[in-house]
Amino acid sequence: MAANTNNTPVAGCNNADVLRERGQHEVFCGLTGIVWLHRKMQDAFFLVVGSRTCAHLIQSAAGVMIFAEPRFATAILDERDLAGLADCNDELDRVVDEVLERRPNISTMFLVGSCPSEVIKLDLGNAADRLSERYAGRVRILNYSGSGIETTFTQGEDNCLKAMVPVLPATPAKQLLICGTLPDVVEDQFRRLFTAMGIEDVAFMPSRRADTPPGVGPSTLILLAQPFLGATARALIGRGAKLLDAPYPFGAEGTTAWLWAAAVEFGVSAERFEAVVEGPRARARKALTPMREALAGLTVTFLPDSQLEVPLARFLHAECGMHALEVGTPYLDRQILAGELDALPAGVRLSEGQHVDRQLDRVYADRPDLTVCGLGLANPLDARGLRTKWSIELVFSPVHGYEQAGDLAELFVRPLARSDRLAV
Amino acid sequence: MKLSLWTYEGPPHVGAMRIATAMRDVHFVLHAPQGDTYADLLFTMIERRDRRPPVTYTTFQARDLGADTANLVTRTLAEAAERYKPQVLLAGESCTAELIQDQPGALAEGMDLGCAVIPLELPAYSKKENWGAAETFYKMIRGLLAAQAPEPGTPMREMPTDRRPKANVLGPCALAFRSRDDIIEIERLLTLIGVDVHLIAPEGASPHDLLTIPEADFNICLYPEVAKTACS
Ligand code: SF4
Repeated sequence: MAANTNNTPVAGCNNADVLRERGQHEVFCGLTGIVWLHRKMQDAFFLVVGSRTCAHLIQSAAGVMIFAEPRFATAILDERDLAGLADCNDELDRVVDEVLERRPNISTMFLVGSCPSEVIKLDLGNAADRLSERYAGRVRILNYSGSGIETTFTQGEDNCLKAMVPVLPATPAKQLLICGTLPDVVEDQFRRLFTAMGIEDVAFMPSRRADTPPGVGPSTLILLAQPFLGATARALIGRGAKLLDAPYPFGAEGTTAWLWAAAVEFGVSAERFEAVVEGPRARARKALTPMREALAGLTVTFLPDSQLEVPLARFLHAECGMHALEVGTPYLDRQILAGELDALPAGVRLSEGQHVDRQLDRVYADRPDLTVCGLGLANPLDARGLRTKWSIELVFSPVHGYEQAGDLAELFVRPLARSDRLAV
Repeated sequence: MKLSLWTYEGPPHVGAMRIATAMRDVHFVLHAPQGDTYADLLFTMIERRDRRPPVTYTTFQARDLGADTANLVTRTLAEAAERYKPQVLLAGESCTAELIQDQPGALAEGMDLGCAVIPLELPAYSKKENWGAAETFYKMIRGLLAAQAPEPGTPMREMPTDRRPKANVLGPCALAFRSRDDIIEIERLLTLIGVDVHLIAPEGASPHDLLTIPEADFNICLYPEVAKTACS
């Protein structure tokens, strides 16, 4: 990866100055990832050990997406738990028993750390070991931090997947391991493409069932589907796997480059690759044509939120003809974004961290045609005549791969079209 | 420790946000980690307000702990007072900040912020959202009107005979169910029985408006969950 960074063409903005800001952040914490992780892993339960705030956050972020019997809950700390850690551990065991008694179909439980549990130094790693012993053979108990003092929004998924790495079975097989939560239909599409190229051994992480996780070993090649899994990738590398250098599978060209990064490693010939991707790529390009007409020449600013900002700015620039004014991201992980940063044009204002008041001042001065931002900021920006896209939709909607390329672009077209209609 | 699958009420600082957001010229500095900013969306998305709630979060991180979180609080207070120039600045903390005991209220009182400061104590591990709203409204009224409070034992003022009686309608606030419709209805009913509305608060009121509360003849406690503490 490092080699790639050093070979950066001067035109890219990989080496450009980054505006680093420290002030109020306006982002979710890593607990939010539970909303999509619990839907993906159908036998996993997420128990947040935190406060009423944590419970309220997940509920607010999940909004209407909550199922009748959600597989997450919060163990809310009260004054007595703060008074003594010994009792607090007993209480936690009692709550875990209560959950597992009610939910016999759970194979894996994640104890999810929060700001309060971390500040009082409640050792959830220890608790997970203790409880794993008690439930040996029935439920595996793992632990990770989703706290707002350690993680932003999508980093929760990174920590969750990283927590699973040590328990993945070892495998010597040469296999492709695709990391990042994808909707099942998107997973199936990718699997079909790889199968058609002759790559049979393809695994996904997280898998649909937590009790049948993928294996990992020295012949495992990691292909990241999401640009926020740096810690997971590094943990997998620690188990011998190799990280493939690729952009992210957004848009017709992004998806092609991503697939190709894997194809090369498996010795797929250029001809065979072409034959497989030709059809779906043509469909994606066709779907993008009207979107490009609507978006070309318009300006866009990303406020820091999901970590998808850099790859999506690249997609909107390269495949939709938009001009990115500012691309803000909660943190820049250069190792896993190297390819993407190269593809951003020079002159884009790249910012890391946040001082929300100052950043909004810049948005008001820039007046981009479209601002991609969190839910707390969208309506106030709309009220000032700016058009917005909620970044959380980009995390919750199927946006990866060829078949979704048009839908992805359409997510950005929609707010523009709506305000055109309002203007008439 | 209590297992919660669903919570109907948020934490007490969200109650304080509801008061600050309902009012004009009030700003709230909340000592809290970044994830707590989710609460903004309750007002901008669910209630569809067209402005951000008047809240600045310190958004401290793990690496700030033990180093300079108190500094972060004073810096945030100074910046917020300078940028938003409120009549009243509320200073409080969320569940996590309560544990690190920087006491933003006391810090704010010790600074020269150019506005009235009202410190809030919002015990996150024992109280909930409605309590936080009621407490904040009460603290605000007490803080602003302490000087005008009648001596204990002062007899109630007589109802006027030379003009229509005036009432304060207390309790309508942000994120309250149907409160806008209720206000219209109660104003209509009061007019019918010959009573004028002097002030509605906290919704739409500024701290200056709260100073005129004693000019009315009586208070209507429209939503006890928000206004009962203040009315009693
Ligand atoms: S920021 Fe911390 S306290 Fe707030 S919801 Fe997230 S984990 Fe809980």
